[in-house]
Amino acid sequence: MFSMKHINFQGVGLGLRQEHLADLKQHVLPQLDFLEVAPENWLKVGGRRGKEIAHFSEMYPMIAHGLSLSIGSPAPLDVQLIDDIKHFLQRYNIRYYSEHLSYCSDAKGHLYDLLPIPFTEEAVHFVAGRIRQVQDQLERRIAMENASYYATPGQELTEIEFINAVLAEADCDLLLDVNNIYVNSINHQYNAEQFLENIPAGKVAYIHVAGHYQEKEDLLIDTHGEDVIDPVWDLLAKAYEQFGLLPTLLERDNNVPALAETLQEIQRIHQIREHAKVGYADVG
Amino acid sequence: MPTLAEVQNQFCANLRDPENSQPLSGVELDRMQVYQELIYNNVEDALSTVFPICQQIVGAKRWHKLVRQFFIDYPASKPLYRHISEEFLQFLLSLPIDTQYPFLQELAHFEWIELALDNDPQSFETLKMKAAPDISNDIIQLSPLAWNLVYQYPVHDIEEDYQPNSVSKSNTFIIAYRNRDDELNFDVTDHFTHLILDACKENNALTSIELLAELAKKHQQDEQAVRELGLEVLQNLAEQDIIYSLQE
Repeated sequence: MFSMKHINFQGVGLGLRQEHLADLKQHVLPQLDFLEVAPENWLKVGGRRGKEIAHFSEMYPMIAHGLSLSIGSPAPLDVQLIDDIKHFLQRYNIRYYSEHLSYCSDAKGHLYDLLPIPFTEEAVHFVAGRIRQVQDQLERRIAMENASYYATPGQELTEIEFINAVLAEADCDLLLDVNNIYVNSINHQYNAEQFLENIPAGKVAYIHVAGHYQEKEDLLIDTHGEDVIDPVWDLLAKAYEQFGLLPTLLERDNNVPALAETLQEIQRIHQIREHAKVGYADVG
Repeated sequence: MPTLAEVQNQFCANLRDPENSQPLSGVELDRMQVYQELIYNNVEDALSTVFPICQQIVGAKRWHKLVRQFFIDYPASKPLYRHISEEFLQFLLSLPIDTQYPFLQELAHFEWIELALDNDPQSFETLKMKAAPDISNDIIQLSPLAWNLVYQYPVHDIEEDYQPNSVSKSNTFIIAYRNRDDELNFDVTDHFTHLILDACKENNALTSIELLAELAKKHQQDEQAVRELGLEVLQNLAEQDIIYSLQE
């Protein structure tokens, strides 16, 4: 129903981590339908690393989730980086590419972590224009992720207003991160379910689910370093009800447990999909 | 009203230098602190992984001062996380020689090589290598995955208990290389081997015998002695994938 023609991967995937390489390398696991990699970790690598990425790209359908594009930065877009990513996507037959609605550099240079784009009218036009430029250069449609944020510098719009305005103006897809909705809803005191309801159908390409760290009662940090908690699983189920069984990826980037333990969470995603109250055929 | 770029640059200026800049008005201080810590810890993690000996030698206080100075002063233009260490190295090299740790820049360079070499995109598969080399009569080249290094300090020996305070009488020669099985090696070598490798680096016309003859002439050494010893050295270097013989 909401399926997108250009989304040519499906099911349940896992973010590829260094800690799991040796175990994952052995044979194709039936419960994993695809892998996701951060292109920046594999761009222009040779030797051991180059062989690893080539190996995994032949084992599984692979998608890429970028870190350094800095789409909302006051610095010019790095067209060399975009070119390198384009080459990477082609070389390893990567099916889809997503990035963060965020930035990681200022006019001086890189800061190497995700920063909050001010939710303003000016930022909507600025960011949307840059997303279009990236899509043109990559010659493909991409998704931007609703990022986690801990502060709202210069805020004029609500987060959902900002995201929806960018999606409309940039004509790009959304990577829906249900953990980020939960984390942001606590950190900025809004209703997570209501937020989800305001995401337009037909825009969501796929879903991210992850764990976070509770620093204080009203402050959650998006670490991807803990198990996924129940309210986030509930949001995932709700997202399936709303959008159908979109491809879903588990992110685990810190305190990475043994593969067997991570696969239990993959199994949990499969179970939620089986029980999802989807009123129409699987769109995956 | 400030522009988008002004808001962002001020926000980031405070992350770079929290002690000497105004946080953005309207942003809660504890949330600003979350970002200050995330940004700092992320970069510091990357650096302490690549430069553990430098970090240990200068101690926590001085190390944090260096990392903070890096944020304040250095325009890091490389977008990839694994290049943070290269940017930091460039920053260290731009500083005047540290009187307390005069070897620090060389030590940092030495520590950084492992990561750089492990990730180097070049590979043996793309080299025009001869399968059965004839060391004497072939045109020999330095592998692009072999770094022929010279340091003023014995960087490979420096640790907390051994911190030379002046340059050594003789240079330290090291070959850092990745072989065809992607294994990294660091071999301490001698001046003679260093000179041969240096000559191999730009070589695309001379056979080994011709190259060694030129080397002997340049350094006014006995040609036959240089050839005999040189061929033996080249044979060993070829077996370690440090040099290779160019296909005709």
